[in-house]
Amino acid sequence: MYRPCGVFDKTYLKDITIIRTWQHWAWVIGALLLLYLLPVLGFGYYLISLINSLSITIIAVMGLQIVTGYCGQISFGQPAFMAVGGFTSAILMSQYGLSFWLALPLSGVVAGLVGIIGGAPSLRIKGFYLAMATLAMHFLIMWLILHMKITGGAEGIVAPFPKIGDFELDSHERMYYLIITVMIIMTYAARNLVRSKIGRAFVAIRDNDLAAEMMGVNLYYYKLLAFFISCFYAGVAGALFVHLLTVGHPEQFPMFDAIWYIGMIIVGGMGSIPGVFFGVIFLRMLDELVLFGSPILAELFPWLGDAPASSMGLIAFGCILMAFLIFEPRGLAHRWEIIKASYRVYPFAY
Amino acid sequence: MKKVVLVLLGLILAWTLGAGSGLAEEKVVTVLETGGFTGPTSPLVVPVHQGSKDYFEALNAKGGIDGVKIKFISSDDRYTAARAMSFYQRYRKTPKLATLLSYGTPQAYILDPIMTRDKIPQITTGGGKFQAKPGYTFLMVCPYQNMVGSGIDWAIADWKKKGKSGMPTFAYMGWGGASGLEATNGSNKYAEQKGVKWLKPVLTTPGTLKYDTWLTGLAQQGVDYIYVHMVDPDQTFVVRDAYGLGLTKKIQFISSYYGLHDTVGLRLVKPEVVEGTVVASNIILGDERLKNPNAELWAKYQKKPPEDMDDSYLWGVGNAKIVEQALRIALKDVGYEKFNGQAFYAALQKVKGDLTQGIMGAQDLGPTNRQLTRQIRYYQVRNGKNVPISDWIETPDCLSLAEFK
Repeated sequence: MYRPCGVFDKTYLKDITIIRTWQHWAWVIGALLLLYLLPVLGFGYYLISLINSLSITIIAVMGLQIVTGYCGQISFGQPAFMAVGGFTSAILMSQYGLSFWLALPLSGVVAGLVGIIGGAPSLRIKGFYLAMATLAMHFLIMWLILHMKITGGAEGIVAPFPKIGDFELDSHERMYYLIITVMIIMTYAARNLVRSKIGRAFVAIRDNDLAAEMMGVNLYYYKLLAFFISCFYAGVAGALFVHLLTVGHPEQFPMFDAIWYIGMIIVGGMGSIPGVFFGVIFLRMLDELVLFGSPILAELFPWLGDAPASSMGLIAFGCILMAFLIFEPRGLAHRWEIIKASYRVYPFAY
Repeated sequence: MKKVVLVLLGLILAWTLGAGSGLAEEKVVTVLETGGFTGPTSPLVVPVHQGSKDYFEALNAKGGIDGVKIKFISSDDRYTAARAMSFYQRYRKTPKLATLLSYGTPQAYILDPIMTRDKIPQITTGGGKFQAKPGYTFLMVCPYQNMVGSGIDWAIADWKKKGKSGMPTFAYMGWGGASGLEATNGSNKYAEQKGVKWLKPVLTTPGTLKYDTWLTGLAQQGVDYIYVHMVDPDQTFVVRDAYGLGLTKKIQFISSYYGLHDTVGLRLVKPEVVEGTVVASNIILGDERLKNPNAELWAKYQKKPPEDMDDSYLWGVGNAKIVEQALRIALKDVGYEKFNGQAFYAALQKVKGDLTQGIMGAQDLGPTNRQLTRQIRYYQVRNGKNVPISDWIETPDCLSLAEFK
C-alpha cells in the first residue's frame, strides 16, 4: 500500500502490483531464502515442527479470513472442513492408491464442495444465526467421520507420507519444504484474489449486502464461492496436517479450534492477509509459551498449582481477545500499517 | 546506569553458569505427561497428575533411583490431540527420555505412530487396540471393552442372585468419541455370546448436562442395567437424572472407573440419589483409599484434609510407582549412560507383582501384555460412600471379539 517518500506509481499495472520497489523485492526474497534455509542453518527440530504447525494453521485461517474477514460470513466450521480435507486425502492415498500430489488438491475440492453445503444457510441467514448453522455443520461432519467405516471411525485412519518419486517426505524436516511452499502459494493466491473482482465483491457483501446486490453483485454466487474457497483452504490445511502426523483422527479437529481461529483473525486484523500471519503467530506463540511456561510457573509458585497454571493459556486468550476488541479492533495488521506509514514519510515526522 | 546493568548481567551470567554446572552433575531421566488439565477430562486428570508429581517429588527427595532423579514434565493438552503432539515434539529429543504418560484416547492414537518411530513407550488410558496389537503403547487400565465385558458379567451374576429368569437387557452410555466408541467394540459381541440383550449404545457429547431423553428412551426399551462410561464431570449426572425420572429403582447403574468419586460426584448430590450405584474401578475407592499408606503423600504435599483426597490421586501414585519400578529395571539392565526409551520399553515388559501397594490390581506385563493391570474391583455406593463389594477380579477378554483394522 505505502511506498517510501518520493516513489510514485506511474502506470495502472504498477498501481496494482503487490511487490512494487526493489527494496520490497529484496525483503521478500531475503525472507523466503531464510525460510527455506532454516533447516540447513541448523535450526532445531522443534522450531521446524513449530513452523510446520504455524503454516498449516495459517492456511486454514487464511480460508477463514476470506469467508469471514472479507465476505463477512461468520463460520465456526473450519476445523470440520479441515477434517474433511484430511480424511479425503488419507482415504484417497491409503485406500485408492492415489498419489499425494493428486490427493492434495482433491482434498481441497471435496472440502470446498462440502463447504458449499455448509455455507448454503448463508443464503437465508446471517450473523449469529449463520455462526450457529456452521457450528451444527461441525457436529454433523464430525459425527459422520466418527461413524463411517471408510474413515476408520474411532480408530482413525493411516495417512501415508507424501513421496516425490522414491523420495519419501517422512520427517518434519522434509515435510517442512512442502508445507511452507503450499503456504506461500496459497498466501499469494489469497492476496491476488482479494484485489480481484471477486475480492471486491466479497468486500461489498461484507460492508452492505443489500447495497452490493443493488450494484449487481450476485449474492448467492459470491457467498457460496467464498465458502468454497474458504473450505478449499481448510481442506488443503487438513490434508497437510494428517499427512504430517501420519494419522487422521476425528478428535484431531476439535470445535474449540474454530474459536481460536476466529480469535486469530480478530487479533491479526479482519480483512487483512498479513493479519492472518500476525494473528496466527501471535496466538500460537502465546499458546506455546503457556504450554512450556506453565510447568515452570507451577514450580516457581507452588501455591498456584499445575492446573491453574495450565489454564493460563485460556485466560490469556480471553483477555487478549477482549483487549483487542476494545482497544485495537482492527488488529495487529492495523498497527503494522501505521508502522509502514511512518516509514513512508521518513525522514519527515509526518 | 551502565554499571548497574553490567552488575546485573554479571549476576545473571554467574547464576546461569552455576545452574548449568549443577545440572551437569545431576543424573536425570525425563518422564513426560500430557492430559486435559482443563476441559472435559480435568476432574480425572488433575488429581492423577498431582499423585504422580508428589510421588516423584518424594522419590527425588530420597535421592531418586540410586542417585538418578526423575524430571517430571507435564502439560495441559486440553484433551486435544494437536496440543499433545506439540508437547511431545517439543521434548522428544530430550536426552534420557523414558516415557510419556498420556491421559486421553485421542491423544494416544495420534502419538502412537511417532512414538513408535522414536522408540519411546507411551503409557495411556484404555485404548484396546494397543493391547490387541502390542507395540510401544501401554495401558494404565484394562481395555475399555474388557471393562464393559466385566460389567456384563457383573450384571448377569446380579440378575441370577436376584432370582430372575432369562437374561437381563444391557445398555451402554458414554461419549461419542474415540474412547466411548471403542468401549463397545468387542463388548457388544461379548454380550451376544452371553445371551444378554444389548441395546443400541447411547453416545453423548462431552459437556452434556441433562440425560433425561436418552434415559427415557432406554427405559422404554426395558433396560435392566446401564453401564456408564466417560461423561463429565463424572457419571453422577446420569444417575442424578435417572433418579429424577424415578428410574434408579428399576435400573441398576454401573459406572466405569471415571465416576462417582468421593470428592467429585458423590459430593454433588444427596446420598439417596446415587444409593446402590455400582462402580467398576481400576483403583481403590472410598475409605480404603484413606487407609492406603500412600495417602500420606497427600497430607505431606497437598496439605489438605485426607477426606479431600480424590480417588484418582492414588491412581497417579500407582502409575508413578510402576514407572519407578520399570526405571529401576532399565537402569540395572543398561546403566545410566546407555539408558534410553528402548531400555525403558524393555524394562516395562518385565514389571510384575503388586507394585502399587494395593492401589491397583497386580502387575503382570510381558511381551504380549500391555496392561498395567488386568484387574478391577467393584464398589457400591451406600450412604454416599463407595463400599467394596468384590476383591480384585480379572476382566474378561472382549478384545478377541473386537474388530481392528
